Amino acid sequence: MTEGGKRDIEEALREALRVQGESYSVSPDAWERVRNRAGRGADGSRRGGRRRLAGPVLAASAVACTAVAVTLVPSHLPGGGGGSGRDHRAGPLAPGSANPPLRLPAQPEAAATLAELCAGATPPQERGRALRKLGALRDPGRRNRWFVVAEQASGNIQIQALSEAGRRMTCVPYTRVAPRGWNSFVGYSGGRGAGEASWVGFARVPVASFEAVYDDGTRMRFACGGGGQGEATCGRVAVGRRGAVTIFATAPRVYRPRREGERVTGVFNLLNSAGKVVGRYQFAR
Amino acid sequence: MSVEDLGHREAVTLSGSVLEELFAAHYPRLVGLAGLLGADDPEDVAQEAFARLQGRGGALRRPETAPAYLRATVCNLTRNRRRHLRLVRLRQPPPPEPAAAAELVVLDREGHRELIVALDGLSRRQREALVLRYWLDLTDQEVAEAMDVSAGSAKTHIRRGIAALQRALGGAPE
Repeated sequence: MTEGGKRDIEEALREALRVQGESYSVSPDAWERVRNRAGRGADGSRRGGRRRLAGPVLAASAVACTAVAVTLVPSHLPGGGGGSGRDHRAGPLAPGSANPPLRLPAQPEAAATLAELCAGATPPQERGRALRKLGALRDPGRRNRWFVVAEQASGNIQIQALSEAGRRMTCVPYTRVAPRGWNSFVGYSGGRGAGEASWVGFARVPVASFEAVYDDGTRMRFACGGGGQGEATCGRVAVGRRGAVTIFATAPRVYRPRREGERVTGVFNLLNSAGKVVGRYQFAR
Repeated sequence: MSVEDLGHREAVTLSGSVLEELFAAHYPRLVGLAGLLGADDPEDVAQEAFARLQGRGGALRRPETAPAYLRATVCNLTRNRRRHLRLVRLRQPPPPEPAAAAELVVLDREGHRELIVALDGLSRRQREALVLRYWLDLTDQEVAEAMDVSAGSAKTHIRRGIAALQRALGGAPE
């Protein structure tokens, strides 16, 4: 290997590790959780291994509680919820707007706003307002993309992805249609084999965190308002006849099965603010 | 007054504050270390390392040894977790047919992803050595301590790891 080639690969590796390493989420209550763990060891209880069974539930619950505190009280956000500091409110519908639910415009009005946006008839400076009006949810995995819950005339619901492309806005159906009557829905984005996966959906019951459990034991956790790889954006909106729903989208995470190209299966859990599972959805590819 | 001079009761109090300082200084980097080594729940690993550190009064009475202890613990815990996942995968029956069709969205891949994937294909020791060196900027000796190998071995793993990465990326002949 030449010295120059080695230097190049070293620099590229350093940069790749920096980007990847900084993408892992750090819970706001991490220190508290460490103290609790250490405390459990100090009080004479058995500390054998990492207590994989108890840990995730407690952890998810703790993260969820924090997320909800942020959600319900916008003044808890950095800068009093005004948008400074960490970008919790970057999207048109950020966690701080979750309570009370954002009332969407009536069906014809919402449809007209959406049609204008998708046709590129909305001036760029008006887009933010239009997206807010629609209750659009920022995609944590891609800049300048939002999700909109659109109710069809039949009462079915479909989540659409709206992406900025210069002066235009492209709108594409992002998930399958959730038939009328469904109280919740989760769409899975990911390919077979190794690659990125993310989840987007809605639920009538309030949800605060999520857990993907693959059949091989791999677990991924997300929390509304979390950061890095554990980030999920969430918002509570009123959708037509359906009433208030929480819509959510998780950041993409990389999953690697034991063999490349292998079928991917697992369960995606929705958890409420107390860390209780309120919805379970199988996913597969 | 040095930490060694304190009685047991005082040492415990100070240990708490030392641990908190260590936590503030090292926790995010250790979460990154666990993630880059392939832990499925990097925060869980990093938190367990700190909890174990608190259980080791000896390490805390000499705070300068604590970062090395934490790094080695994260490496060990991640290794164990990956081994456990491998066993679970071996024991599980073939996955069932998908329950429902799902949406396929091709996500943009960032440029560095190729390198991270290539890193994942390295041997466990080469990967550990490279992550410790290039993520935490450790010296050969520090890498060796975290991996519990000799400094010469650590150096070899780093050299071979870099060469393997270059081959994987098509930048050098076999």
